[in-house]
Amino acid sequence: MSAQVVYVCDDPVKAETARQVLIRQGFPENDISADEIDIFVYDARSYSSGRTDAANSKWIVIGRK
Amino acid sequence: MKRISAMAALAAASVLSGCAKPDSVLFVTNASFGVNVEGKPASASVGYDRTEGYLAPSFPSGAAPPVIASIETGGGLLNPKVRQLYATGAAAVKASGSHKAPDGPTTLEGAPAAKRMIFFGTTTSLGMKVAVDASGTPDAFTFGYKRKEYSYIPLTKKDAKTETYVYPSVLASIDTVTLAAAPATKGSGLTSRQFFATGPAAEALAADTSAIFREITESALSAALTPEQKQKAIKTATETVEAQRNNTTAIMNAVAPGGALDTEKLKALLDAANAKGADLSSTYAAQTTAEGLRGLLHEDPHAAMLLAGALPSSQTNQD
Repeated sequence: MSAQVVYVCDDPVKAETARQVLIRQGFPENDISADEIDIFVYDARSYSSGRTDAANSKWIVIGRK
Repeated sequence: MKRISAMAALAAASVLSGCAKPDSVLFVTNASFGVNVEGKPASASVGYDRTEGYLAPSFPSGAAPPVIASIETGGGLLNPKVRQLYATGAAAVKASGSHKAPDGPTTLEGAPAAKRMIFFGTTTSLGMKVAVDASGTPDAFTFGYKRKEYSYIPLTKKDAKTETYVYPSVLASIDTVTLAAAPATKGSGLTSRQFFATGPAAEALAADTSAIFREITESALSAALTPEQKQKAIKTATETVEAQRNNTTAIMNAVAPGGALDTEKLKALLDAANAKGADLSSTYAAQTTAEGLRGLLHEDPHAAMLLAGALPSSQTNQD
């Protein structure tokens, strides 16, 4: 796994757009996840709190390849 | 009651394993699936109960004797379908779909480790009830789910000098979908898919199972969209990727004319973009090769748009 791209989307339509963008960029379709989340937990090494409420109820689309 | 008896037997076997010779594998599954549909009052209920248990010796290599069990139920309330699989040894590895599955018996090297038994089990209870009113619209819906998964797996010391240990593979998965569509109970039912595997069968199945959950994610997303919304998303994505390609070409022409990245030109472009409020990551400034920059732009349409927007207008449409 050399690349990981994360999109935070407001609604399922934008999440589907992000998923399609990743597919067109060559990310394997089976390795793209799209989840509606309650609380988004950031990478704690990059963010001091490791947690935010700003992304509550948003869709997280992650492409991996 | 059968479930309790089966688990009690497994628990007893687990306790007794301390004094039993560990040269055999105990592998049991027990499933019951029932459907009840009544006309007056109109209601339908589904019950599902399943136990899986495995007791086997561990080996010095960390290997676990492979087994696989799966059960898949589907269909409507009036025509339920059940598909079940139970296999051990090489057949279990083949059944998992592994391309590298051996044709013969699966070799487990070394003597079974006495008093070091693997125990792995699951119990699942599912219940669903749908009641419909006279018009066929569901007016009551109950869904219950209870699941236990447990394992006791001794770590195997692989190398005495380096304190390297192996944790043998086991995998258990359940995936349920309830359907409760009006009118009446025609589209109603309970779909479940359950896997239980150990050793190389678990490893081979793990990749496939992750794909199954990806499919579920995709279908959940698609289910939230109307066909028009999905078409709109695809159209927007196509336009985004096309714009990204044009932006990337324009940026690369500007900062890497001739194919070699000019870091001074890149810095000037970043400064111009940030002056317009882009706030681009320092990762871009750290790039020293055209390929590295192209890779970043390829994965970040937004950054490509911001950088292209900072180019002098004479450079934005160059190929």
